Amino acid sequence: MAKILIVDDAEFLRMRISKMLTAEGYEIVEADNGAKAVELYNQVHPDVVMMDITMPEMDGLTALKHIKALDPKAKVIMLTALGQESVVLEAIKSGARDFVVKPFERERVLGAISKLLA
Amino acid sequence: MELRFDIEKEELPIFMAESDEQFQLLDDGMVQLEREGENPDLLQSLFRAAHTLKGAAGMIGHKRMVALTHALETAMDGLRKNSYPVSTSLIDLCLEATDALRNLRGEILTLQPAPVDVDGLVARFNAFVAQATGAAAAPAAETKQTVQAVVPTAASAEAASQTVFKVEAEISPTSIASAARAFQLVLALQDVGVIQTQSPTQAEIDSAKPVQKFSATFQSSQTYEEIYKLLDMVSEVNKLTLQQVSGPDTLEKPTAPLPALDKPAEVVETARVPQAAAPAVPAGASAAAAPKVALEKTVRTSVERLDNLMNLVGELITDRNRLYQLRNSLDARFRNDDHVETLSETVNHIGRITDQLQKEVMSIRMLPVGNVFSKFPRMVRDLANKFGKKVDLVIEGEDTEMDRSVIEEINDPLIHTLRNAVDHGIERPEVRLAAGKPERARVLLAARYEQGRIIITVEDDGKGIDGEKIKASAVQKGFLSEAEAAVMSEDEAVNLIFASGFSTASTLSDISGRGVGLDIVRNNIQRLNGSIMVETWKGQGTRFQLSLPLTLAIVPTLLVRVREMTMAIPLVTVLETLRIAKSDIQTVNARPVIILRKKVLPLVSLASTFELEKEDYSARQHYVVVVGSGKLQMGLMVDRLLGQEEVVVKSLGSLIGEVHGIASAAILGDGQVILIVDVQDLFRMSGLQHAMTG
Repeated sequence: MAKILIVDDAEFLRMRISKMLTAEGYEIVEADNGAKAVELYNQVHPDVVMMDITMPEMDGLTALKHIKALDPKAKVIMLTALGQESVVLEAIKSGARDFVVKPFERERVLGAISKLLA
Repeated sequence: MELRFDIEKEELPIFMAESDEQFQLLDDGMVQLEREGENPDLLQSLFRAAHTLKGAAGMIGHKRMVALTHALETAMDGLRKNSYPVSTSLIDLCLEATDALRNLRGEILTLQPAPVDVDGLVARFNAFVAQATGAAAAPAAETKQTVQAVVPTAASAEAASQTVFKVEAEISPTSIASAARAFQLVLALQDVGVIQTQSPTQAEIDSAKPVQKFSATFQSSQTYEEIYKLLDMVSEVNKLTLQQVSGPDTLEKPTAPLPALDKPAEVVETARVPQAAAPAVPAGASAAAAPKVALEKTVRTSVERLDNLMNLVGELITDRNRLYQLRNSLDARFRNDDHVETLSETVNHIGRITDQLQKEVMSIRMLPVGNVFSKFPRMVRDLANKFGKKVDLVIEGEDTEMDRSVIEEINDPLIHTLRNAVDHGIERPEVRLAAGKPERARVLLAARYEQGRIIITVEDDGKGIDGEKIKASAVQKGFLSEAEAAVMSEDEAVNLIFASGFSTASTLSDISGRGVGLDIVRNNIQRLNGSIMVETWKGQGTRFQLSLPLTLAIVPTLLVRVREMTMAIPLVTVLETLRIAKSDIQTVNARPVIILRKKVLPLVSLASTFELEKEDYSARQHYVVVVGSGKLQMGLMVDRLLGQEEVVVKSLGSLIGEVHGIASAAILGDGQVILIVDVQDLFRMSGLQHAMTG
């Protein structure tokens, strides 16, 4: 069972993704900011991380760098929104493997995850 | 026309709670921003609030909310990037947008379009940004990022044995960061080999400009399939062709270039079977199970459930009391019996557990008063602007917790008290300056614990309450005779503001007016078994102090006997109990009174009030419970004093409805249903409230 870490400060969003992925049989772990995500990554070693960019405490980009430092093979998908083009590029350069744009379609999220798990 | 949103019923509470949080953040943040100017952390959190709202609105397909939150987010982004300064007009627009968003969110419940002009608001945001940035210096030339060229670094010794491929990819025009997709392709190519040429160049990709077509030639020792699979991993690539250009070993390569595979635009079907494809061991991790962490420490639950839980605990407390009584009578009858002793121990244990349970449930129902306080900064700002005053609201002790039921009830009294402070207490800026005070007034809203109660203070540094002016107004309105006014102390005069129908503002402003006076505030507070007090200093300010119980569910009472009935008087209103003789009772204005410490104390018979029986004033002695409400006091005549007991309050229910003089009911340990008297209402019924000095 693949484990997915969902990182977003928005609870509603986390709930939506979590529901969607649980229905597909994934095991879900959640964090509501970047710092917690890094800590959890170290503890639960998720197969894929889906992480928001804009978050309090520690933003997604910083968390991504920390996670990549912990585990260079970490598979991180950034959750992003319109208007974040340059941040997304930086995320990819920092080792993010993919990004999905909010509001996202189910297929897009599932596709991105299954690609990384393939 | 009914609107439709992509949200399920059980998702609603979370959506509502989260959006409430963001609205609150926006309200508070805007007010703070206006006061403090550009504060990077604050701007960041405001941007994030708008962003989070946009995300959630997008998820449920609320397009109008998305459009407006996007405009708001853009405005915040401009502030964040110092494109323009904070201005009142911008804050006003943002606050207006926040209100509009609240209305729009309401559509999710009503499914009817809210009367919100989203396009108009968005246009105003756009106009603002255009004008503000136009007025500012011409935007600085885009800073070019330093670019590192793609350097072919692979060992050239291997190059000879490698195949050269050509890749062409079309990136979806709808991708929001097509340059990032191109960059992912570059990364994939660097993984499998060495890039020889590429278009667009790395510098162009780094500029984050949209990339529609990407092409490259590269050398790789990996197979066609391997490379294709890797490139195919990149999302939002509509068309992908990979061709083998040349190779060292003709035997291993197809005789002709492979036909370019058209990548389907649709997502692969493997999405459905992730578990089969998932590697058992996470990358970089050992297979050993990592220690489980406490992921979510909180649970959201419905208020209804908490209320039910509290009700059940209430029943349990009633039963516990009954058990105590049973134990006592068994103890008295069968002392030294082993069974009775064991039973007695068990009853004691159950009693302790029930107490703990009650405390736990109460603590679950506790909420920080910040939940109520949080919306006041915005309210005070709007009020101050309306009255042309400058006011800072300072909040202290917002973490102080009290029962949800009390929190809900103090909202209106606090709103009114704050309005009163801004409207009546605080002077206009020019008046303040002339009086040598700072132009900006300060209103303090603070909460703290004191002896098992919550004390909420609303304090302003305004002009204070003028007792003489109050007296004059009271005389004019007929509340007071001139003679009464002449002997009335300053303190008593100030307390006239709580008299019903009293208002010193010459014209009722639409804020403090609207038929709600401080008398209603006092009544509401007292209904909660609380009290309100005012202190004032001429020219320096006024302080209102509210004292409230931690919960409404359990009330400490004094039980009394009135003829055949047992009644409970809330202990908070009880000042003392007396036993008086027939000869102590006098008559003043056809009303029975006694003289207590040289003051006249009116007597009210509970038996007469509740029409149980006409009071027999000729009885040899009477018991009197002295109760107070503000400055008023009266003696309630009862037949017997039974003792103190904490009772669990039960509402009278809609069938009985409101009964004058009765607040609610309770069930005692022996199963007896009793009534809790409403002391404030008794004052009203007795007509004592207008006879100010008794």
